[in-house]
Amino acid sequence: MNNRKKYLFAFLMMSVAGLVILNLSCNKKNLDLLPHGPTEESYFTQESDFTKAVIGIYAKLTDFYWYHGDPWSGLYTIFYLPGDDITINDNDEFEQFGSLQPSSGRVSEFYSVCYQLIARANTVLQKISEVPDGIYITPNLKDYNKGEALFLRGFAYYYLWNYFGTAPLDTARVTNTNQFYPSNTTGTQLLDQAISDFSEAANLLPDSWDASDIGRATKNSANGFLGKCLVFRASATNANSDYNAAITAFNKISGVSLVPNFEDNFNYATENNAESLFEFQASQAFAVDNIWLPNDFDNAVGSISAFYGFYDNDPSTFEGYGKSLYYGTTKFLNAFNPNDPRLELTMDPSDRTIRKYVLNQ
Amino acid sequence: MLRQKEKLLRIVSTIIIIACFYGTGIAQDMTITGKIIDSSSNAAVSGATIALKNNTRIGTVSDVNGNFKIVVSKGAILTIKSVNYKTVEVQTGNDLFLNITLVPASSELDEVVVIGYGTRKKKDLTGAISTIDAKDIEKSTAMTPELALQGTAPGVFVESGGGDPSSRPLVRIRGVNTFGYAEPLYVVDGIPIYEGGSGVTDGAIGDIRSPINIFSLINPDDIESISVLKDASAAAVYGVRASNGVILITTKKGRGKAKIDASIKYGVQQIPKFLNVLNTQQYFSLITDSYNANPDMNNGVPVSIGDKFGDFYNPSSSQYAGNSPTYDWQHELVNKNAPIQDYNVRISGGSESVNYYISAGYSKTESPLKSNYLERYSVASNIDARISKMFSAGMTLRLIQQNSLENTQDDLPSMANVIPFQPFKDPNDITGFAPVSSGSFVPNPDYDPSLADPGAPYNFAPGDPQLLWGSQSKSNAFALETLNNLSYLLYNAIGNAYVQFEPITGLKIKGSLGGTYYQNLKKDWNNFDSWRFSQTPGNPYSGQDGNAKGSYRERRGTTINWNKEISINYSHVFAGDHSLDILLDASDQFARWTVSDLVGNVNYTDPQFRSIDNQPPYTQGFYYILQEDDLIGYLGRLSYNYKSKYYFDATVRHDGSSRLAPGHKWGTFPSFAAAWRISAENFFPKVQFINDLKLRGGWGKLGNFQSAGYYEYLSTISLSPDYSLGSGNGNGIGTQLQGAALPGFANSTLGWEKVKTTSFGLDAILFNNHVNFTAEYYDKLTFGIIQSVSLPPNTGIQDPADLNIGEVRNSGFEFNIGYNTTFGKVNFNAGGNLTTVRNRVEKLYLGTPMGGESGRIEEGYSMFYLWGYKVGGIFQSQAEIDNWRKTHADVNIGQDINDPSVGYQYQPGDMYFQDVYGNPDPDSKERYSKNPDSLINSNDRTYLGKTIPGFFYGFNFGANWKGIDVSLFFQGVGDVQKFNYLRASMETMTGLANQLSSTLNRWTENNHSTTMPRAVYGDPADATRFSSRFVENASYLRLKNLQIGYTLPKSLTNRIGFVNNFRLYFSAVNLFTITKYTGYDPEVDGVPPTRQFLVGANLSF
Repeated sequence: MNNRKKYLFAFLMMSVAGLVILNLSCNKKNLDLLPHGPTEESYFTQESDFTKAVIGIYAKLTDFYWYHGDPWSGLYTIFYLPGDDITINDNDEFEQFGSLQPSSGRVSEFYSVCYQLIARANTVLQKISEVPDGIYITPNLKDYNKGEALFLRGFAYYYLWNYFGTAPLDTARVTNTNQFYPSNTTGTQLLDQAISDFSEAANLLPDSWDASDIGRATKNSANGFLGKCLVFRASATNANSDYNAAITAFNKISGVSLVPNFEDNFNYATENNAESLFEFQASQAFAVDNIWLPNDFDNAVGSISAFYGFYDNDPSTFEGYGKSLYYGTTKFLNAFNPNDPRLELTMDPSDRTIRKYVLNQ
Repeated sequence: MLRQKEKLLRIVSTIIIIACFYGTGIAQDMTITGKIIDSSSNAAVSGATIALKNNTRIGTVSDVNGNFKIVVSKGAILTIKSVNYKTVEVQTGNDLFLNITLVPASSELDEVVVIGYGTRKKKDLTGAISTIDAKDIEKSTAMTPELALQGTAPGVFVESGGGDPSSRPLVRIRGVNTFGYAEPLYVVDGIPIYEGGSGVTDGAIGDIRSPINIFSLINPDDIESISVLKDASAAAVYGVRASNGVILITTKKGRGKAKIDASIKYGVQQIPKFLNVLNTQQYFSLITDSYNANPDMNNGVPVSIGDKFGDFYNPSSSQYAGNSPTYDWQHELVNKNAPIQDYNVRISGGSESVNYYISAGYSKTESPLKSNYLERYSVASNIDARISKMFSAGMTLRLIQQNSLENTQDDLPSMANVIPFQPFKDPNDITGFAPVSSGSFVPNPDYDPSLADPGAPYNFAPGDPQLLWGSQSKSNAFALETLNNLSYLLYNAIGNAYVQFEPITGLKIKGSLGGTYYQNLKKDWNNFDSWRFSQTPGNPYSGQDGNAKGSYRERRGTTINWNKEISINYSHVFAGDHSLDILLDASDQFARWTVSDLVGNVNYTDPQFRSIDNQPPYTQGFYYILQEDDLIGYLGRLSYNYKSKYYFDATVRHDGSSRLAPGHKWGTFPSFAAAWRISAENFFPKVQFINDLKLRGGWGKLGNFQSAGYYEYLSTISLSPDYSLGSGNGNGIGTQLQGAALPGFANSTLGWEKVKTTSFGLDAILFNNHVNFTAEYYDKLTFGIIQSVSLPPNTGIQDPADLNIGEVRNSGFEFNIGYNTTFGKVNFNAGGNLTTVRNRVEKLYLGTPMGGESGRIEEGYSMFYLWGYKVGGIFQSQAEIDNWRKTHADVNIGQDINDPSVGYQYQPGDMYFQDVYGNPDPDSKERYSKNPDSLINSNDRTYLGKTIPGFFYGFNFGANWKGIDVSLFFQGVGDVQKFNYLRASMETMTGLANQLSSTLNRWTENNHSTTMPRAVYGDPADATRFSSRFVENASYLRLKNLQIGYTLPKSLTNRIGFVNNFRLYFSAVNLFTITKYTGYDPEVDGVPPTRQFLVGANLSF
């Protein structure tokens, strides 16, 4: 072979071998490995995966009611203390307000929990929108699940608007780094979203659930919250149309009545009763309900209770937890007709300690 | 040999004489035959060209047996050339048969260096590569090869893992790139080593992976050379795995005449330094001083020391220990003169068609602490066969078994602070050791074997267990060593086979298959009785039915790694001047790591019955980990040089990994390098003091494969949320239902962290080839370092997410110099190298510093710097205190700047700290104000020192005269600080633990010390906070190796007959260390590196 032929041959051989390399030696599919545990990729392939994901949204509610809720002072105090009914014999940023700072751990935790609930709801909504036929077997369950996710998301937006006003709006699941810093909302945008979520949920949710599913959101739950949100928006914008819409929503609530026994509303054994629109389903973890551990800790000990110890002045139950006693205000006491039979059931008129939640503990 | 050589000389001289005689005679054609052999091995040299000096057209090539035949005219001068040999010229004479001996080219420039995917002559290098060869490796006595790089390879920082032979040295190339995975890639004979758990030695993964160093799986005696690829232009061939540098290990191969080499090494090891601690009397005097300075008060009356600490401390008690003897726990833990032994046999040889190398080795090193050793059996083979002119094939395979006992129950520092009156031996105890706890048992009424969790059949009686030596009782490590057992059994196989097709000269197509199998079996036995010797005795009956004699755990980790590769290489010199080398390569590496763990009770004490078989019904088993990984890489490299003057290299690697999201799996890593050999230019003056001069530079990009976790782009499902439904009708609890959530951020855009490197170098050979010198500058920016960060709350994402954020820059210089000369009959050589490192964190998530006080990561600082308070001094008088309190208050101890009566009241002898910074301005984003604010609080923590050394170096001297050789090797690091945890726990004088003898110099009324504060129980002045008090200069200089050898003269070895070479030597390792660090050792305190004395012999047959 002369030199030129040699080079030609070398070039030819390299091309052939190059082709071999590109096509045969390495199959790019080899890179498509998946982990040997459940991930999103392998999940949402059967109906029960979806129902579990919906239960996961409900579970986030626990963080609002959990007795020792992070950071150990409980988020429910944000619901109760700013009002004029319940007070505390201690300095508390939500009682005195003067000491309330943006850096308050309770405020940022409340904010975080709202968005965590929204994130769970957004995930379920995304997955339901993508679900192929044949995964959902139970009739209507797909609609119910979608309604539950919308209802719970509306619940979180309602609180966000109520407490933070202009917090960001996230209606899509965060999957990209450029979704980290959305702009704040203005006006009643959050409330608008809550109203839209509740309206849609009211059309999707069932009138009632089977006995074993009692506690899940129903049409009544959605209409109740829808009406409430419309009233809130009406007060903010003075729009009469909202008041009218609220009336329409409330009128859609059916099949409920006041309970004959006032105390049934506060007894955990009768928490779901004729008066219920939507109840937080306090329970206890199957091993030990460890009030120091969040629901997300695990199934066995993560707290799923709403312990009313803060109304209980039995030192043996909560002295060690370092919480001050919550009791009724004088204004609250004076609001009762002294002969009202509900007074004695609600509080001890002599020292204004709250009775209703702890009567049946 | 000698006789042969004489004969050869005679022949050559005869040729020359005859040639001279006939030099001008009439030309006369003659056929000359001859044989060409290698001067060192006497093996035939094939492929050498034999040509007429003045007419290269007339020439031939030696055949496989070194033979050649050429027709020339009488008196013609023949030039014999062969790669790797010095060219010789021979004038033909009357002899028709020529024996020609070629001497290997040993010039520094012609030295062949292993680069990634090939070899190259040193003079042709363009990238930054450090190499060490078998001679350097032989001197290292460690069972793991990385330690041979310490101080010998510029740019490579190696920190010993200490005296434990199983421990893993820390290797960092050109600074520390990242606070993530910073280990270099190891490639053994072309197989990239994959390790399950990625070299993590701490945390949960580290525990699962076990503390064993996998690199002890290569017998250092089998290693021919180690090349370290330091910059992108050198390492780009390894693309995404190369950002932390690449360490190429090339093992020995057979060549030439069959020979047998054997080496024997035996030595003993010592711990060079112990800490001086207080004896019993000094200890009691300290405790008394300390407690009296700050006694507990009961209704205004001090509680007596006996009431506080128990009868051992009560001078009026019969149990008072103040007059007890002192027990030296430190020395008791030591395995005196711990032996180190190493035996190797290598058989190697080669012919034209087959080269072979077979070795076997046994090595055992005991730890300087009791009950710990590493033992290795290894066999290896390297076989290369030339099947035909076009085909060759080969295979390398090594098999290793290691037994590692890791049963030392404690380390030296924790022995030093044992209360000095606690004995460790007790002849009355059945074990011979002094118990630490006592207690009796009562049946547990709640025990119910029918339950899934039956509880313990017995519980401790009320009040039990009790610690026998007070609250400061120390676990008896010596008893636990005999009762318990922790060992590892490790198997390793590593092999590679290839077929090469060479259709035309210069074009090689090679396919190879290789892999590793590594199994690590942890065997952990915990004796039932061990609770009696524990300082934290647990109920031995828990989790068993009352019959168990102990619990036994087997944890098995297995890593398999399978590498397929095909490469094409074409190299050719065009038109005599244009040298071209092209490489194309594709590879696919698959790895799987599994860990399984089984633990349960065994009803027998016999070690024979420590088996999973004997564990039912309590055995709990689970798979911990199953991880799989796949990496595909395509590589192209073009190397060109013109007349060995101008060099240009371009490399690009395209890598794909299973760890990242679809669409982000692939990355491209390019690099370029160029070099200019100025000395090859015609204009360059031919001067004696510059023999060779080359400038080179390169730029490139590399990735950090291990930085991306497994499947971070997929959200895992958490099943821990739960909610209850169905409450009602009197049932307030309902049914608890499991929910599901996706708590993480599925970062589908996650990529690897990457490094950009720029480097420049200068290589020179100077002073008539006596000196070689290299200087290099490097600058590396690591970017996209993966940080696990908490996302803004509005995302609703609960788990920290991995994002590509951080940036770290490393830059510095490297110098390497070698010198060799001959003074009369003495050959002398010396060398040295120095590397500087400037490490700076350039970017972090939101600029937020990370890490703790002992390793803070902050923008603008060296990574892992020491961060804490600065000592102000020790108050010598009340006046000094009053004066200080007028302008300062230490918030940490409750003081108030406006009210001196609030908070801790300083006493003379107390230590105080400096006010460095102020509280941050609430309107700014700064974390602290630069202006001191009179308050000592957490804002005053500041830079105290850096833990990444600013420079490190090594230097050596060697000489030989006749058969005697001497060598000295020093190694050191500088510009580095260390927080001395020993002093931080044994100079506190605040509790009951024993303290260092330095506390005898503590401040008292009569001894106004300015360095050691007074002893105060409970530390009310918080003098033990993380501060400059315990930060020390950790620079050191070690005499790492001293070796004196004697090679028996040939006349003597010849008389023995079959022995070819016989060298005896004595060597001392770590003979002395110069340092200001006051702990055991500036590198490792727990099990410090040992001082070793060894004798050894090397034989060839």
